[in-house]
Amino acid sequence: MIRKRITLIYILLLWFVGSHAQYVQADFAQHLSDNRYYQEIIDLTDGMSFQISGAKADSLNFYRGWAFFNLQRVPEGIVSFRKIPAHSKLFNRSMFLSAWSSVYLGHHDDARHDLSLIVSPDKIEKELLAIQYSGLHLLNLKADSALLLLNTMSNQASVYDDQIDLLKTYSLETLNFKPKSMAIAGLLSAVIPGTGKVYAGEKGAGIGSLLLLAGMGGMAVENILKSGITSWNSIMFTGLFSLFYLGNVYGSIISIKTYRERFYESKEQAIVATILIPLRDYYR
Amino acid sequence: MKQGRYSDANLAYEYVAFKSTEQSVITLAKLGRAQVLKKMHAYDRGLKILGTINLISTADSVRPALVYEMVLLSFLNKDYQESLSRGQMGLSLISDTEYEDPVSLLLALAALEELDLMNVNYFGSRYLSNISNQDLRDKLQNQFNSLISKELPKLKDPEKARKWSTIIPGSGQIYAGSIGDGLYNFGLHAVVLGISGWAFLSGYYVSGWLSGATVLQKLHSGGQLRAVDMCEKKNRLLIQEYAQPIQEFLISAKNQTK
Repeated sequence: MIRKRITLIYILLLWFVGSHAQYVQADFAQHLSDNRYYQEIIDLTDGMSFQISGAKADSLNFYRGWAFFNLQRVPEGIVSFRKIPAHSKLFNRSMFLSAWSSVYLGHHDDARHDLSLIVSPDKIEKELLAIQYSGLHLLNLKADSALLLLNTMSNQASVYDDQIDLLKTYSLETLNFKPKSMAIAGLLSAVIPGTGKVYAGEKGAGIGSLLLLAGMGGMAVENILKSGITSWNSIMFTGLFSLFYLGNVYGSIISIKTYRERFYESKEQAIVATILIPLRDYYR
Repeated sequence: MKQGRYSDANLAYEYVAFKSTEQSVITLAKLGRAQVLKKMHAYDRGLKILGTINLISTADSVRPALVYEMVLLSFLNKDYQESLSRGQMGLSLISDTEYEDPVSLLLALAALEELDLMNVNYFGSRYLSNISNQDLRDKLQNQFNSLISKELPKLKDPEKARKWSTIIPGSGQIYAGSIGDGLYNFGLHAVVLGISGWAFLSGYYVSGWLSGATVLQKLHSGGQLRAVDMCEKKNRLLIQEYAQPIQEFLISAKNQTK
């Protein structure tokens, strides 16, 4: 009875493995990748690890990582890229893509680590490395280090002059960026409501605050003059005016924080997109 | 069949298409793949696969199945215009085949979704014309004709509702058929105006004007949006009331032949 069960399990296992394993080939994975059937690549390579090894496994792991990368399932892509050993032809490519994926997730140390593992880069890969490192410097607000590296690259002829120029522009913009003072914004709004927001670059919101507080102030004054300071309507309107006045000062301070965040976020998105272009171009 | 097996089947079909050099085999594999993707509810992916097949160079025996899958996948993907155009292009290929009935039904239903009565009539009649029993066929055709001869519902114009509400608050909602809602909105405006007016007349000019104007402005723009929303809701209801009997009739028509 036990022998029969084991035989049955063995037959079922062979059938499962046999039915799936015959498709798990690198050239088929490449065909799926060329046709952008990324979900199919993931289905193909699911559970393959116990069956395949060597160069075939490296290719399949690479295509799996590439599929996750294109489906924007970045963390899973990183896992697959990191399975490729250093002696593989696909290692450098995988490390570049893994590093960029880490940059995308905001894990800059992981990205630096992956880039440091790159083995014997050719001429173009050295340029790619420099571009990725200068991007990392910029993302860590070390614009002067980034500019130094980019200027070194500009002195040599490069295939990626457009990206280098863009990164230089971002570096200069970051260096010249004036973060503005929260204290000044608060003080301005305390004296003339709304001017703190105008100082933070939000003209419309500043004018809106000014008009709103002018109106509320007018209502408070009118009620005090007509009904006296101790009447319920005077207290209500004065209380409302005070609340909105304090809110206007606080809002002006917060708007400086928003101003800074908006600048850095827009730069971050632009930098991450710019350093991806040469990778996609070289590893098409 | 479980989802895991569908993905294996999907891969297997693509593998066949990859390995084969015969065009007919590749076409069949792609058709099979599209059918599997349909089971996986990946309708747009299935359509993408079928889009790579050249209908003209496909074998005659396979074309009707291809047309049927294209029409069905477009319909399931809720792209009814696409379903209609694919069906109309492939109409001659499905005549006198097992796919003529289901395709005609699908096209009639797609046309109904688009309120394209001419095509509803054409494809619906085509669908009913294959009933062998003449008496039953005539009876069903008459029922179908009486259903589609009803006038299309007069839909309300949301832009008109918005304009009415701009001039007279609440009138947009009444135009959309919600009298209670419209009167309530009008009443609210009247109350706010009344309070502001009383404050103004009492000498509280700034308070009366500012608070009244602020609240009125919010009420007014809210009322306009509500009028548009009610209009669109009413239109959906009117279309559903019109289309549902026709839809139910077509789907259940052939059951009467059994």
